Amino acid sequence: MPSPSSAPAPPDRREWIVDALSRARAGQREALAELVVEFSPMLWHVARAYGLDRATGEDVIQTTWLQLLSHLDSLHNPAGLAGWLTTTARREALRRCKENRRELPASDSLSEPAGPDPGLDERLISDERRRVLWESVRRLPERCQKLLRIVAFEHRPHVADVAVVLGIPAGGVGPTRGRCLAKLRNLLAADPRWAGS
Amino acid sequence: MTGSERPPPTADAQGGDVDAALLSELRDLYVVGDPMPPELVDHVLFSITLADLELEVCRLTELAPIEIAGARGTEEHTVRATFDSDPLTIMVEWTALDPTAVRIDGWLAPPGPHRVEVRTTDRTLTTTADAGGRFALEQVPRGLAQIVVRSVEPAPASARTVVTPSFTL
Repeated sequence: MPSPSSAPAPPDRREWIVDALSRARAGQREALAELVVEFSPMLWHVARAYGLDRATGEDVIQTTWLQLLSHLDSLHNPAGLAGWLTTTARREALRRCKENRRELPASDSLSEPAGPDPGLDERLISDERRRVLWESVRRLPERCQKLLRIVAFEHRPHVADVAVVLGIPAGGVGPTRGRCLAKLRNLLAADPRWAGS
Repeated sequence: MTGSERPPPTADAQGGDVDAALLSELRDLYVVGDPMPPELVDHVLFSITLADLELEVCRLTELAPIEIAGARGTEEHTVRATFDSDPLTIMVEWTALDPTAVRIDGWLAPPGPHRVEVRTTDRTLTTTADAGGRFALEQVPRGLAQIVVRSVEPAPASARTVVTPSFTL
């Protein structure tokens, strides 16, 4: 098992990142390992949110860290490391999405149920409130499920990239986000277990 | 940020807060229900244990079993992986020799007599590709592996080491 994160909470977090990165640049492999432990879970969710299966997700995260290794000396803004890693993982994920799309027939139906990979392991959801939330998410159109998972992890996602993943024009991302959140809120409001929990 | 410069919260902003709370619960849902595979950090650490920083990442683009009919109707189980980067494509096929080792056959494109290393968790096996870009390694331990290709002198000064992510033999 990897060791738990050693990163402090804000406001010292930024300083910790800059310090770990500068030690990594000086050749301290432990510092790089600390960053890997700290940021890989976040990158995992970025990769998965862009629709990658688990094996491809693992591959994209490895590729992202190798990219960091090759850019270690040219990173201009160490404090922006999280953003750099997220952007790199997203670009790698997008590349894989496009490759997969060439191989698979495109699905363009908004109401089509989600595919065989439901996005999470239902056995891990024991909390009643989360179970209700997941049931409602599953009733949303696949496009909404994808978009909401992306915005749950990226407050300001890259609109053009999101549009590619969803197969909609960039101008449609904001309105779709609003519609999907409204649909989810309505489903939850109609569920007595949600209000009661 | 100071509070005095902000407009009073509007109905919209309050709706935004509700959405933010809902998105935060969604985030927790996925964190709990779709955790990162526990071995992933170890795989990453294995693949970045390189001395070179001047590297070119060679992405996995294909990984699939292929069936090759053996001489007497037997079938050998072979897996093919293709890795792509701007300067180089690496294709490898591996076939089980026994429960602990595989044989690797590989091709580099464009071909060149480059040095090819297959790193595994207990040792690194090294060979040189022939003029046609072909290389082969016997008795490669099963488990985690990574391929590293270095240009042989006289290499252009700009030549970077080409590195794949780790994969499982």
